[in-house]
Amino acid sequence: MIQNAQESPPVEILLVEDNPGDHRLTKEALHEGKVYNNLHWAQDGVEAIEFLKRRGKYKDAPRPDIILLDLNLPKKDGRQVLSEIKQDDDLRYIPVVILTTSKAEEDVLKSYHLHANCYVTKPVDLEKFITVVQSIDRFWLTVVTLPNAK
Amino acid sequence: MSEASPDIASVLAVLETRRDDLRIAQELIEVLPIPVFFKGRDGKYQGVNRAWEAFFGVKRRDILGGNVTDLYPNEPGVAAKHTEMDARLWAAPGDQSYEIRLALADGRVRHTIYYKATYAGPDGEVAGLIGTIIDITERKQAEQREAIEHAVARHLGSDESLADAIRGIMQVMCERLDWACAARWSLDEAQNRLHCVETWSEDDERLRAFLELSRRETFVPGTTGMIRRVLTTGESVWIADIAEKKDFLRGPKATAAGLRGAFALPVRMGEKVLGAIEFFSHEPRHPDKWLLTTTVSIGNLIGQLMARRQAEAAMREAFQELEHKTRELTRSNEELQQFAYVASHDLQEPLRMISSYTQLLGRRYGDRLDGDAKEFMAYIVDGAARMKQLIEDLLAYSRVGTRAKEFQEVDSGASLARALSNLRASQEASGAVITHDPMPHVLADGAQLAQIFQNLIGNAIKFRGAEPPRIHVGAQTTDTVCVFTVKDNGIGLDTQYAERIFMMFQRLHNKTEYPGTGIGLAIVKKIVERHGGRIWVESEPGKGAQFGFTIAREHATGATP
Repeated sequence: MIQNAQESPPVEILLVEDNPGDHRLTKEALHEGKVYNNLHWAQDGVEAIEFLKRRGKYKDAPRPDIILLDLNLPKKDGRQVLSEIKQDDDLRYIPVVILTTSKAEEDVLKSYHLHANCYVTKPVDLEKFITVVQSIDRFWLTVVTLPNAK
Repeated sequence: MSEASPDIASVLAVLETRRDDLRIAQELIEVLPIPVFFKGRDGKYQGVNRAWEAFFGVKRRDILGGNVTDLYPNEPGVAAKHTEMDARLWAAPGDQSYEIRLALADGRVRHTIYYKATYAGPDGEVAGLIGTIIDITERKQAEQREAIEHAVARHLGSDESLADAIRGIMQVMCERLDWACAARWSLDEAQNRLHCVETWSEDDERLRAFLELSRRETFVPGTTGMIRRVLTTGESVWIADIAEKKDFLRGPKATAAGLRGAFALPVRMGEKVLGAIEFFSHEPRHPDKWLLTTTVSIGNLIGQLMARRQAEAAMREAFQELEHKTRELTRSNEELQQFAYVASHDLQEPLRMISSYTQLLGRRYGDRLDGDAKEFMAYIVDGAARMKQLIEDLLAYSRVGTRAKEFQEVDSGASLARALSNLRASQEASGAVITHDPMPHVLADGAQLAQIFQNLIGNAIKFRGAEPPRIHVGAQTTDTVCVFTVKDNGIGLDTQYAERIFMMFQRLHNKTEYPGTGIGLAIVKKIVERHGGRIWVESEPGKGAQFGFTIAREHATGATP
């Protein structure tokens, strides 16, 4: 199932995450993975929306193939970002993976009925984290048939 | 009533013409069972019969030749009324009747109807009057008692304030029993002082002024004065004439207001005297035994009312307190949930950083680190993982109360099946054989019941002995409750630790022997208690363990979701 990374166009991933440690870990995990990717990093909700709407310094930003969204963000909260994405006729087709810190948090979030495509708990264990990131990678980019970008 | 009154005047008129029969007439009058009297035109008593002597307790020799004021030395009002009625009769000869309340010399109070008629002398002119007295005291008192009790009951049963109820009762008693004004005194136990709290009076400026003065007084209970004595003795006190009672402190003020007679009754709750109600009359008044006895029960009724109102007030207060506490509790629960969420997120993020980057260090630079460095790093990672588990467990524990569902009738068998399905992996790995009794329906939160089974059976598998685990889930029901048991053939435990194992993060074993944070039984206990049940353990080391817990089968008071 896994395609030859070097021959495919890179997968554009937008990580919305305020913790530099998690950004770095995600980068490391993707680096060890097989999928050729470009990881873009928005540090808060406002920046994420600017990136997605290609405003300001992001006017040349690519349309992400997948969004990894942390919910506890400065300025604009992740829930709000998600709701704006899902209300936008163009952006709503981009799969959103919600990254949560704990199982408990995930339970709480599910009860908000956020229309996320997937919830993933960030594991404490690095190996697991790498596995998770890579499985997101594979699952969303190779197994699931996603609507083509316009 | 007129047919009941013998027309004695006409009888006499006939007898007058038959002098021979005069002796018979005199005998007849003498033996009549009702009091009869003759008065001359000058108002002096000319004759009375035996019944009259008995009624007044006065010998005829002591009254003949005297007038009505001699008969009522202490009741000028009564004497004046009779004199006035006599005058009317002289002015318009014939007959008359009127109702009047008498206080006799010995203190008895009688309610009477007087029937009087004039009679003519030989010259045809009015020579005097003959009168009879009908004693209606019992009927009158019954009426008064009924009216007062009815009024008391009406006021006590209404939802007006205590002050209004007592004022209403005082008004009825004054109006029915001819008192001019009344006041209630209440004992302030903290200060040991009597305060005048409610008053009622006829529409009279002087009375209002007197009561206003009373309101400004406070007394310490003592042996002198009216109210003070009532408080000290718990008995009613009667002052026939305030003017002659030197130790009545408010005497001069009362007499200045035209008050002479006074009476006070205790307001009691059982043996305890809560205060007193006092009454004043315009005229000096002899103690009325009937009134003294009748009003005891009224004082007690008012005392009961006060006690009830106090209890109601205390209950309202307790209820408000409870509401306040409930709000506090709700708020603190919300805070706790908020805290739990924050803990789940904010406490774990640094942990992940510690653990992930330590591991990344090992991955990236492993070939340049020695054995010690790798061991130290393993401890860091292990510590972070355990910390994470503790946080998750704490959250699970806190969620027993906050994320609970309402109790409903559930099939405990379904809860057990759910638990077993979650335990399938460890059941298969350990080769555990799990059996169970027929499972009843109970009143519970099904998901939490499953959690109980999962934790208890999970423990039974975990703490197994050398043999493959044999676990039996028992269920015995009564009408109201089900006793569940989970029995195993595992390593058992020393029951001196039975209390400890249900406490959070309390463990009996080393982590390397049996991993876990020690939250499982604490959660089980919390769930059981939330269901209003109890939990216990029976065991001996090496001989297996049996955990038991109860779950209600029907709604009972006390078990709240």
